[in-house]
Amino acid sequence: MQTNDLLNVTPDALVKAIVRRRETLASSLPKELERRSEENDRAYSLAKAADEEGKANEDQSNQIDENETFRRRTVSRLWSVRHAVEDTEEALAFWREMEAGSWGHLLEDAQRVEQGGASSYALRKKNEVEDV
Amino acid sequence: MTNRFHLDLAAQLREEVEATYAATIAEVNRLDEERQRMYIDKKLRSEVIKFAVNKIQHPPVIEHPEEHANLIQAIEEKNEFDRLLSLRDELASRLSVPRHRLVQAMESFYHRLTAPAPASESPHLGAEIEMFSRFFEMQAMVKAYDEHRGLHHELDGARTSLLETVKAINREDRKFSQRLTKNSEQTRPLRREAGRLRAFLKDIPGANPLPVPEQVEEFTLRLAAGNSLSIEEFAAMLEHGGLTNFEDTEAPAPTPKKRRTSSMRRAEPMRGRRRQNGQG
Repeated sequence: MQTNDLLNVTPDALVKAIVRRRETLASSLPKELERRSEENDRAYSLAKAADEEGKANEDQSNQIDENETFRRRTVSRLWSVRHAVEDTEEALAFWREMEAGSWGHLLEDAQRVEQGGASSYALRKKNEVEDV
Repeated sequence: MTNRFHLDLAAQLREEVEATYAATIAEVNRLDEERQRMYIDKKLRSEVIKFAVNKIQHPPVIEHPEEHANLIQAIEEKNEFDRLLSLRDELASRLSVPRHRLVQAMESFYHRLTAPAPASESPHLGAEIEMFSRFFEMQAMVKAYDEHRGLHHELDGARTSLLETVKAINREDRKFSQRLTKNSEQTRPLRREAGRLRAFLKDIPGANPLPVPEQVEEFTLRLAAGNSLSIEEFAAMLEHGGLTNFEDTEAPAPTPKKRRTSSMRRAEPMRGRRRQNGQG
C-alpha cells in the first residue's frame, strides 16, 4: 500500500474493514470449532481406551503416553478456537458500536499530535528519561 | 657643517622643511590610525566568523552596520539557521519516530487489521484497539512531517548560504592582512624620513620640531583591538619590559644557614632512607 493511500484511510473505513475481517473470521469459526470438538472427542476416547488396555498390559505405556499427548494438544486447540469465538463475538460487538461513529476516545493521541502536541512515543521516551 | 644625510635639505628654507616634516608626521598618524582601524575590523570579522561557526554564543556589536554589510548578513543568516535548526529539533523531539519507520508501521498495522487471517494469527480485540489508535496517531505524525517537508530544504539552504558568506568574509580577511602588511611597509620609510627631517630641524636654532609619534608595535595595536597574542609575542613583550614588574624589588631574604653536618659516616643503620649529600 502506498503512503498516500495510508494517509487517506479514515477511521470509518478502517472500522468497516475490521468488521468485515471479523465477520469472515466469525463465519469460519463454527466449522473450526466443530472440527476441533470432534478431534478432541476422538483423542479422549483413544486415550481412555489406551489407558484401560494399559492397565491390563504394562508394555502399552508408550501408546498411553502418545495418546495422552495427543489428547492434551487437542484440548489446547479446542480452547484456542473457543477463545477465538468469544473474542470475535466481543470484537464484533465492539467494532459495530464503533461503526456508529463513537471512536473518538481511540483518536485522542492522534488529535493531540494534530494540535501540535507530543506523540505518545515522545511522551513515553520523556517519561523514561525522567524515571532514570 | 651640514650632515651628509641632510645635504638635500640644506638648500631649502626652514619653513619648507617644517612643512614637509608636518606633512610626513600627519601621514604617519593617518597610516597608524588606519592600521588601528583595520585591526579592529579584523577582530570584528573574526568574532563574526566565530559566532557563525558556533564557537561563541553572542554576535559582536557592530557599531557601523552600513560599513559591514556582509558581517550583518552573516549574523542574520546565522540567526535564521539557528531558528530553523531549533524548529527541526523541536519537530524531531515532538514526534520522536522517523517518518519512514512510521510508514512501515502503518503498513503493517493496516495489513494486520484488515487482511483475512486464520483465528490463530488474528489479533485479539485489545491489540486491534491499540493498533487502530496507533495507526491514526502515526497518520497525524506523518502529516506533521509532510507539513514541515520544506524545513529540511530551508535548513540546507540556510547552511549553504551561511557557509558561503563565511567564506567570503574569510577571503576579505586575507585581503585585509595584505592591506595591513602594505600599511606597515608604507609607514616604515615615512617614519625614517620624519626622523631625518626632525634631526635636521633640531640643529636649526629657533626651530622646535614636534617629536615623531612613537611607533606602536603591531601586537600593541592588536591588543587594543581585542585580539590575543601568540606565545612568541608575549615572550618578546616580557623581554622588553612591556609588562608591569610585579616582583618585589627588595633584596631577597637570606636563606637560613645550613647546619654543618659531620663528614663522618653515621653509624646508625639507614633503614630504607636514601643517603643524603653531605652525609659521608
